[in-house]
Amino acid sequence: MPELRFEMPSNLPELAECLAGAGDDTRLLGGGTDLLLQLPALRFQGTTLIDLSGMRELSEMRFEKDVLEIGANVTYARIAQDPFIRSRIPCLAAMAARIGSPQIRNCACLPGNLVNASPGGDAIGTILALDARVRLLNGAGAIRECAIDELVLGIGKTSLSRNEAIIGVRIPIPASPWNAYGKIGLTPRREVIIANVSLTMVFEITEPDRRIRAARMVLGSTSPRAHRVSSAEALCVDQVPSSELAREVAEALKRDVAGTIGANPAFQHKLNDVRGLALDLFHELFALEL
Amino acid sequence: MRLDFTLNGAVLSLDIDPGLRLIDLLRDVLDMTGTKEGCGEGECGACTIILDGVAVDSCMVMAMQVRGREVLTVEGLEQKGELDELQRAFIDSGAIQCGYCTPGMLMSAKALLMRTPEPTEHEIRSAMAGNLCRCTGYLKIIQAVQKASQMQSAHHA
Repeated sequence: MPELRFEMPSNLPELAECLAGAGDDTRLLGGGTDLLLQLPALRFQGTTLIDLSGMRELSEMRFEKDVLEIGANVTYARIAQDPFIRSRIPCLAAMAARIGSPQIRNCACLPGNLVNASPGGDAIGTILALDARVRLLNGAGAIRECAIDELVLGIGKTSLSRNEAIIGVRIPIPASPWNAYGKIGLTPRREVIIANVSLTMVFEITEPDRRIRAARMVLGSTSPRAHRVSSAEALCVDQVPSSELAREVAEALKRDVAGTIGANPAFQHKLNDVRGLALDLFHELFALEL
Repeated sequence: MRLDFTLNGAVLSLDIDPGLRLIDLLRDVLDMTGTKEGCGEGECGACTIILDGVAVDSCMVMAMQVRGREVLTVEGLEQKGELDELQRAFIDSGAIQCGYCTPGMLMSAKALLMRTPEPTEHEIRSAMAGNLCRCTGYLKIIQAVQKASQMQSAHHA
């Protein structure tokens, strides 16, 4: 049986060198919580693993003027616990706090969720709602950026080439903290929940009249890839948050899900789930009576 | 491949198969079978160890990824022949039945108490939420962690 090979770059030039030599049997190892599920097959195939865990420069979170850059090795636990993220980007902190279990969150990082491209990938929807961009390094040492919906193309499909690695995610810091994330899982466990429906809402709100200037709403786990729901977003523009608006948005989201799942009886429970989730998030953000 | 890391306070330098997970290295190479493998996919927490101060599933970490890092397993809790207060509290509280989940439970609890010496019940439940037990119903495990926290506080007072 061929032996699994292990490469351990310690900085970006070394990573680029590894990527330049990457073949079809090369995989990138970050937190490992997705990849290690495939380990028996990877061992059998004599895969080369490029382990990013020794790259300290990818373990940093950098706050620039209007952008938060999260390195590829930053764990969900750090994202969930970071005071700035909790206060200014609560949807990101909430999403990170509900990925996997405490043990998983201490290892797993954003890129694994993005390249796994699962319909239930919690981070994909939140990253899309925040209009974030993904930074990629290639084998020539060049860095490019792309939007998440340019990276995630479908179930298990991405535009990432075999000579590229995600090195970070750049998130525009919302002007105000009017954003929230929620998910409903299939199992009664509080942790290790795979989303049945997930929803991220990001509002841009003017003060002091508290009017919504713009909204981004992204549903996950209801279609092959997370998607914005423009019909629900449009309802919010130039409105003041109210119970009536919350119910209209919830119905719009429900219609979107109905259009996606069709008559499939196995998915009908998602209709009530998404409605309840939308009302929960409105209540959480605006303390509305619903 | 060469692997240098610290295990339960001892610096180790080994030649290993780079295809090993950390739990394989612990159990099959080092014969440290205190750490248990349950699901092998990060669901049950039976294989929990502490890596650089935080709880992780050793079935979800490649052995080579602990190079230069510090690993603490259930075997490392005992000091100078004395059980850790957490182990003593588990025994005294009847928090063990079949015992298979216990090493993982202990390590999740230890990671919590290292970070938060006097946790609330909610913090304990959150910290232990990645560990499954099919015998005890969890209540006695929660009580054991509370008891260990009290023992530690009294000890350090």
